[in-house]
Amino acid sequence: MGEALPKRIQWIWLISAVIWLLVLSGITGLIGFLVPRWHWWPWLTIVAIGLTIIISLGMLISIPYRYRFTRYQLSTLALEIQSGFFTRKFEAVPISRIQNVTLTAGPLLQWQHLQAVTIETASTSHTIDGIEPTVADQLRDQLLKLAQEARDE
Amino acid sequence: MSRLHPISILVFSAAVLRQLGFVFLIGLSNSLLKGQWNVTTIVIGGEILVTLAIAVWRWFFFRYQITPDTITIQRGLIAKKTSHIPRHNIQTIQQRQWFFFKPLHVLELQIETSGHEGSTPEAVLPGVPESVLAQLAVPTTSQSVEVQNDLSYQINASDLTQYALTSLGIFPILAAIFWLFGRLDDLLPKTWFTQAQAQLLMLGTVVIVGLGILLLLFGLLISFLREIQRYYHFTLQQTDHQLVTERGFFQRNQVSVATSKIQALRFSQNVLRQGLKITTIQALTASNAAADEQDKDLVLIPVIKTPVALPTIKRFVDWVPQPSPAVTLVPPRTRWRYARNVILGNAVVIGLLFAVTGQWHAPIWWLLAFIWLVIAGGLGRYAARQGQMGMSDTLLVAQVGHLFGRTRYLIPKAKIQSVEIRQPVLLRHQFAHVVINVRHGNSNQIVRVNYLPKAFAQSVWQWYAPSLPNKNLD
Repeated sequence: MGEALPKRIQWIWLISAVIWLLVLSGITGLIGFLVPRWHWWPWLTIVAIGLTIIISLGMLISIPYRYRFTRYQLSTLALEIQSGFFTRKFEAVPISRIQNVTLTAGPLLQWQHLQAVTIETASTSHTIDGIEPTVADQLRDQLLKLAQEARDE
Repeated sequence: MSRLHPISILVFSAAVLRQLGFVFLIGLSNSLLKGQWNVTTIVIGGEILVTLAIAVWRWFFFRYQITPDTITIQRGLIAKKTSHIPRHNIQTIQQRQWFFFKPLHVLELQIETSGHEGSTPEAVLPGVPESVLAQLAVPTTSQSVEVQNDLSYQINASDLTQYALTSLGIFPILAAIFWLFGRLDDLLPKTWFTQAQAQLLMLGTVVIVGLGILLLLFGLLISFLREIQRYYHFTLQQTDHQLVTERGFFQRNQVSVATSKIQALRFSQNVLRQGLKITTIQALTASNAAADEQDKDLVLIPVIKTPVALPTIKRFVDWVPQPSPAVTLVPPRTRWRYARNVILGNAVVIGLLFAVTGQWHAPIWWLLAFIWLVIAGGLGRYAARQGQMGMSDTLLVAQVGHLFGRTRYLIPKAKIQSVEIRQPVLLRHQFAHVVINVRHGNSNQIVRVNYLPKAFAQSVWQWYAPSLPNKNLD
């Protein structure tokens, strides 16, 4: 059911997991540095190392499962986005609530030639992580056209 | 283009004082400390002159025009700013009338659109004649009080007293008093403070405790009087598709909003009011400052007996269901998860505090932490018991528990911006969290009920997005 994202998106998740690993390691290093100096609880460093390993491993291992679950689906009345792994998230946005559609691509997405699509309503925003640029353009045009029709009715 | 009534110079002056007040206070206290009265007089005189000069300047270059289609406001000479507000974009119109404005037939107008710019209203007209209201098609404050029929509601004195007594507003007041003491420390010379402290110590504990109790009673009295002042002679009435509320003793405050612009209704109770079976009804609108600084939600009925809340509000908002649709509760067998989540969250913070402060040896801290976690778990369990959700064809009803209170929402289907179903991966065959997003002010109000039965989450999805078959959910 629905559309899957291009397989290349997994590279981006992999890189983000590595970035997370680096950031967490940095924080762990800082804790390890401060524990003896400020007389914090000595085991805090071990706890931080443990958490860093568990979180990073969890993110790395879950990538293929997460990929299988991440999808989107468009009907003439509504858009659905599925994402997440540890908590599976199903979002439903009726076409008539859509205020604007934005395409963005950060450095990672540009490197893989992908485009993220953000759909905004009057109060929320919903993002499809990354799809082919041509598909993204089509999706945007289709969403805006349907939204216009929904408003005219 | 016309100018505001000269009385609005007073309103402008108050605004200038709010902006410059702290600088003025420092100047004043410095001159007082020098002990030369002529210097003090000059400082006070100078401050009044500066305030008046800025206020008159702002008043002189402020012009406005109200036509049936647009409201135009022009401000400033050096930085000139002209804004136009199309009539049909207006979400709420608010009128305030200080008691000294009344004999002059002048009032202050605040006009809100759903635009995103900042938290201030799009147009504030501090002093306009009552006659302009006719062009905006809203009743004036003086007219509305007399109307008494089926489409109006007036608060009764005993309800209001109960409401004021059960307000938890004393906590912010106490915080303000402590803050003021903190500030005094900076402003007043050190010697005064140490002297006062020495005297207090000599008087002994009894007097200090007495003073504390006095302070508490004083805070309670202020919060009581403030609530009474705020909702004095509260009325709600309906005039051609507009809801108009009016309240206040020293300052009459009137807000009008088109019924069609209401995003959702909110029924809230703190635990005290839950015991007394009284409820507050508010409207969520798509504009900010619909009411006042304290709470940005438009209060439709400040206090009403819970059993008659729905029938009463139905007279004003026709989509209110009667009876309320059937709801699904959070199943009792999963309620412990609410308590567990709250306890875990608090335990992590407490653990970090222990680890960082090095206080993990002292039993007293463990005892305090234990008591804290028991209370947190109790609050989690309370929240779990309040959680419920249900739908009719056209609207959704949801109730969530929170810190010392519960809130019930009535949201028309057409006003729900989006719906999210979240499934914790290990519990995906049994439970799901349901998240409803609705516009509130300039941001989003999340209405979230956790651990509802999976079948119910599926029915919410079917109800909201029937065109999207969902294999994973179905």
